[in-house]
Amino acid sequence: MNTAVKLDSSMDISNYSEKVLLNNPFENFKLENYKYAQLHKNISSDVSLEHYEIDLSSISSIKNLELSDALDIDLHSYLNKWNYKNTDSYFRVNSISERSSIKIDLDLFEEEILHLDLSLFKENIQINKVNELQKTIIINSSNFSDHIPRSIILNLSKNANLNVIHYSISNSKSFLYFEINQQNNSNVKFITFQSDNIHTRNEFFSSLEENCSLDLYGLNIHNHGVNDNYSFIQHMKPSSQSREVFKSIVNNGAVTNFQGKIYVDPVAQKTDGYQMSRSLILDNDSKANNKPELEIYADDVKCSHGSTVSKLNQDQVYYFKSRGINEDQALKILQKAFLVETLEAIENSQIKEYSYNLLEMRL
Amino acid sequence: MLKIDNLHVSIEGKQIIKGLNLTINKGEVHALMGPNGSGKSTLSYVLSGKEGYEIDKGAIEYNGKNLLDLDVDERANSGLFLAFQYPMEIPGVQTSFFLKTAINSKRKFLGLPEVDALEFAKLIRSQAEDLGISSEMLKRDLNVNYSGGEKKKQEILQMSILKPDMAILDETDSGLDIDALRIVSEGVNKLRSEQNSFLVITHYQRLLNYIKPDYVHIIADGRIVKSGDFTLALELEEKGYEDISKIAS
Amino acid sequence: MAATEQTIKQVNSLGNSEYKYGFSTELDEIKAPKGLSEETVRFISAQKNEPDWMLDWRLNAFKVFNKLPKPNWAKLNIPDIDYQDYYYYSSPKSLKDKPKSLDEIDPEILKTYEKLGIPLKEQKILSGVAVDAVFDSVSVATTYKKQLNDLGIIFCSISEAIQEHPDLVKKYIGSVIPVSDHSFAALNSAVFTDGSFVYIPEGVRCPVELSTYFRINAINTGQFERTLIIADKNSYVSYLEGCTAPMRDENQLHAANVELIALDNAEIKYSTVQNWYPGDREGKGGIYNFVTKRGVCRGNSSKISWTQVETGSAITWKYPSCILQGDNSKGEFYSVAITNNKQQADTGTKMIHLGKNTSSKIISKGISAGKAQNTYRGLVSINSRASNSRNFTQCDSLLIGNKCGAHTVPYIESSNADSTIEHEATTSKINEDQLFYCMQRGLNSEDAVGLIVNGFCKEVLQHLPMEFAVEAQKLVAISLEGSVG
Repeated sequence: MNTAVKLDSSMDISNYSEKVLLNNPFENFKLENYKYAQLHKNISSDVSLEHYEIDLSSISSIKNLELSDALDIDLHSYLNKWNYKNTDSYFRVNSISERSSIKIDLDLFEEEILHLDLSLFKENIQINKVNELQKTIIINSSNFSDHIPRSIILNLSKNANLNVIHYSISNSKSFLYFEINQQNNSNVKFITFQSDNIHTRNEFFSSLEENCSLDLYGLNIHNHGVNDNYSFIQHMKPSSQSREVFKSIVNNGAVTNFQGKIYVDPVAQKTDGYQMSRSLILDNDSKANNKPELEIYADDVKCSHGSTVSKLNQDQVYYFKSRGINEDQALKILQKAFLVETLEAIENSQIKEYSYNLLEMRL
Repeated sequence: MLKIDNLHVSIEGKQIIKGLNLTINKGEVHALMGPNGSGKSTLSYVLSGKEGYEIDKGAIEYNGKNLLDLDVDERANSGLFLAFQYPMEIPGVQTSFFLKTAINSKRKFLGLPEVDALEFAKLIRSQAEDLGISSEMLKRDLNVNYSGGEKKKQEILQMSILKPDMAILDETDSGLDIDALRIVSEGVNKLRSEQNSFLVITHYQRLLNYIKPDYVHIIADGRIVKSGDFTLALELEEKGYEDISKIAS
Repeated sequence: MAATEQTIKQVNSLGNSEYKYGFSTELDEIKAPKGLSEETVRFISAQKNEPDWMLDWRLNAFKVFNKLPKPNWAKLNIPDIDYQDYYYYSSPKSLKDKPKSLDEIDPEILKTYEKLGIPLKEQKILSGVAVDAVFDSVSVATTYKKQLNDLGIIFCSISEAIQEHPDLVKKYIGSVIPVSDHSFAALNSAVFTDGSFVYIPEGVRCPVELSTYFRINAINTGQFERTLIIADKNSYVSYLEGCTAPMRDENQLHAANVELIALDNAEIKYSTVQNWYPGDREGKGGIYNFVTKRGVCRGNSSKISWTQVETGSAITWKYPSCILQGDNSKGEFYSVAITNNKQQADTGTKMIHLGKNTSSKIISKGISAGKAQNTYRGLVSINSRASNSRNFTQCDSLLIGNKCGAHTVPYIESSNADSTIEHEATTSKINEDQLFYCMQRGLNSEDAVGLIVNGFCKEVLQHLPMEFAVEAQKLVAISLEGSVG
């Protein structure tokens, strides 16, 4: 239903993204995948964002990646490679057109934990993992005010394993496109922690081959303006498992959106797909929009999704108060309890603790 | 300590408590017995300050203060404790963390410094052991995947740590086997003193063999219809709730 | 796996599914000239002797239709509809001078209804169902009219209502689905031919189920019916809609508008069992079903519930919706949608919470088989003023065979901090163990699947009025005869 548009020499790159838009009327992403994103709006605000420094000094055995660790590559031919069914990303097209690209091979480094501070790089980054050995990469995108989309493409070869922790804090207009391509038997745990941002959109496109697993967890708190998360997970071969949990707490007149699609190819039997998006709205000026989607063409699958938008359970608040704990404190504890599930998947205990503390401070 | 005067309470327009009077002095243990729907649980919720109940008439005095003026947590910090019939599950909140927060809230209210980690650990461990609560359970999320009996023990643990002046036990014996019943009752009895009081709400006389009350009241249709001493409970056990009108007269 | 494969083979050998209503009646007809233009609109209005205000309303709608773009956001492959290739009005000649009783109606028409099993003779009527029959574009007869009149209930064709009760019609028509809402709404407003009009006065509980049967008979006729149901304060009505269409090669167009209005404390229950002709196994010749159904819970504590079983039509595009305006109002949506062979369905509902303490419940069961595509598309929107509102949505999809698709696209939007929206969706196939168990107890695979699917749909089917429930269950089984597998 969607048409990939071939980029050829006669075409002006700057018009390319427009062409993609024009050629895809049904799932016209101006309407559907960007439905709540309000990207066309020029969100200005009198909220000044505090500069926030991610301090990873408490974490041992960590390597901070630099430009010298990367190699230049050309992703223009990649624009024609239409990986994803029924949808494309304006960010993908735009970022590859606008920025140069580099690649980093994670297996070249001894350290188990790698830190990619995006403020040190202007490029799109392709990250490759071939080896089975477990590694963790912390992708730090904080304090940005930069409206040109950027792509981060993760390619996992057969049997590869990777943990990704993404911190997105204090950004104004940051648009990230993540692509997670997994070959057979690979496993990814991806946790995205987003707070104190104004007007951002993160996209997570994932393609799974056979017998893969993907855990994608997202946490959203204390943001302003419109913050959007879009995910598209396609199961292209049998027996893979995907698990997505996105949780947000929205206040201060902010809008937090989640759109997530699970696509199951006709040959992808025995797929196990699960998605849960939950939002807590704290005041009537704020808004939460969720659009979980299932597009399923194979019958021997187990796919489900759930979505709730709610307030805190008043009975739980009452229980706290009946034990003498005042309302503010009770709310804080319960909000943390609501969000903490998304951080539990972090395997490294130091990173986990750092993340818990970060959450405490943000509440 | 607690004086309830001509209390009338309704829920969504429906009258549940229709003129209830009760006085509990320091050092006393009162039992409240009655059939389903008589207003027992409503009374306990109203005393603790839960929302959703309309006080149509009447007053409640607690240690000289108007209890109805205080918010739920203020009542708790003033020494009022309600052991719930159906304790809430709170996923994501660790039991020991919850207990610590509760103690510190009370201490803050009293102008005392927060409890330190070592002190707290000692306190918890000894109380938990007496009640048969393992340290592993303390690390779990509050009441999540606890059996009925374990939940009730958890309530008593909280009570023994917070040391209330006025404790209300709402059908604490429901769902307990004999061993659990004995352990829970021992926990309660250990706390009894001249300085505090208990209101034990129950269906069955059996609990009162373990926690001997000074006074027994029978509640029916939103009012206390008869009061007496322990022997009243035995009479009720013999005659059953259907004969309440006879007992009341 | 083996059981299902076996069933697939069995089913494929059955050839075309049994569509027993595929016959047509030979009649003399009056037709509007083919095509769609201002003349068509005037022709229709003249045929019905409509007052000026009605003609003006139609003409305005036609203008709006010409300006609006055709909607294309649904996940459907809609071949371009040539609006000029249809006749917009067709009525059997004999009805021109309105028959005063059933005896005066062309016996051919009566026979058609008999074949369909629809009772027009009052003696044979199931107790409790008042029937208004629409044959192509004209309402044939309405039973129980006098009895309902005594209660002050108005149940008649919309054409009649325009003549006899213009004030009510003027007040409410287009108030729920504005003409400019979208292009099919505008089209319908311009060329609607007939439909039902119901008005339940204050405090009255309608004692019988009200029902309308539609039949598209003439070739290339589009059916544009318009239904308007008003339940005044403290009243209650249960309305059943059912339709069938003969087999035709050209796709036929069905663009209906249904408007429901419930005032304070009123309740409207609207049930549909729809089995338009689905097209043959190649997808040729079925009905295009584009319906706009919307209810407004205008009054406080009012309630509107939609219950539907959809098994027919080649392409279905249908979102019965509730606008919960009054405080404490309730909206409900129960649906079973079965698609088979090459059918496509994009259906769902919209629940829009505007008032306080409003609640909505959505239970949608989709069954997809053959090469069909079945999509649930729903919107739950809670306005910032709609405090303390609740929604619960459950959509389950069942896939039979590996060439079909089941999709779920919910839109969940909330601007209120005191409200709760819960949404759950699952997709699965028929449980092998259940199938094996049934067959081990002696049921053949078709019956076993029918049993399991009925169980899957039970939650929805139990909301249908009794008269429909039996038909619905049979329909589920029939639709699956050609699909199981």
